[in-house]
Amino acid sequence: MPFNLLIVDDSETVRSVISKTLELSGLDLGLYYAANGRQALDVLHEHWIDLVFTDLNMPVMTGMELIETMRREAMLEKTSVVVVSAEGSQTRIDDLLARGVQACLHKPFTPEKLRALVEDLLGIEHDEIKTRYDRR
Amino acid sequence: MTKSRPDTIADSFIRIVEGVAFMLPERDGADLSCRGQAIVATMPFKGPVSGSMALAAPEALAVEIAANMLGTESNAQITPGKAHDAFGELLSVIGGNLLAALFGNVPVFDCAIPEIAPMTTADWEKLGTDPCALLFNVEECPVLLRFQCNA
Repeated sequence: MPFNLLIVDDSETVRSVISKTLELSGLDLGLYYAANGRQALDVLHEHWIDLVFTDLNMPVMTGMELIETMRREAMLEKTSVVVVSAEGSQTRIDDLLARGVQACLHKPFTPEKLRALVEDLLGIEHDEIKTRYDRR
Repeated sequence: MTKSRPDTIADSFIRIVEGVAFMLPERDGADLSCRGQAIVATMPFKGPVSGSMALAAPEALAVEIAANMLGTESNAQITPGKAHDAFGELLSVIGGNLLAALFGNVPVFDCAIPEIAPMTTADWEKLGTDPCALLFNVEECPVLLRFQCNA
């Protein structure tokens, strides 16, 4: 059974780049999309999501507001969150980690870094990925 | 030796455009004359220092940038909306990295969502002569990056 991953970003470009990178990585993932935090909450309430990749700076509901809302909801408080951002402030990164964010992926990122992060957070063994990839 | 602000801005811009759009900007040999419609992405920022950034280029180059970022085989697949979205995202990534390069990784800045607008010839020429703007040659097209701090 694949893991489900939600990509939250107001930029269609970013959603597409992350999605294509993950598809090419051979990881067996179900991908969901949202353009802001509000849409992300709707997806999270309707589907089982294992990992959320979110931007911070979005209209309607920001990534920070999404994270705060998730951490207040019993059903979502343990869901892993990665912030994908060009944020260069270590002060803000430390604040995000203190709020329960699992990792921050700094833009620009390489496909290898994205894949390694997903493998690590979902606890997927490298051999398992290779087997799934070889089956395709 | 500490780099000058223009050199720091240029280094960040070149690194990000290479990494995100797979293009190699050059500062030498850039020609301000712009053929065709140009667009500008603007992004105000707030923090210990506030100001704004602007990135301007011919729309045709924005289409190529989007095609590279999205990994599409043909520019024909790139609608104006996709080109504008990718151009705004490029400025967003440049902005975050540039603020850290200029001010270090301790201060916290809030950047607005980039806004995209078409430019008139007069807009382009005004930005091109702005003392806070740097001119680059990207794939034989002029690209302007302005970093401006409020007094």
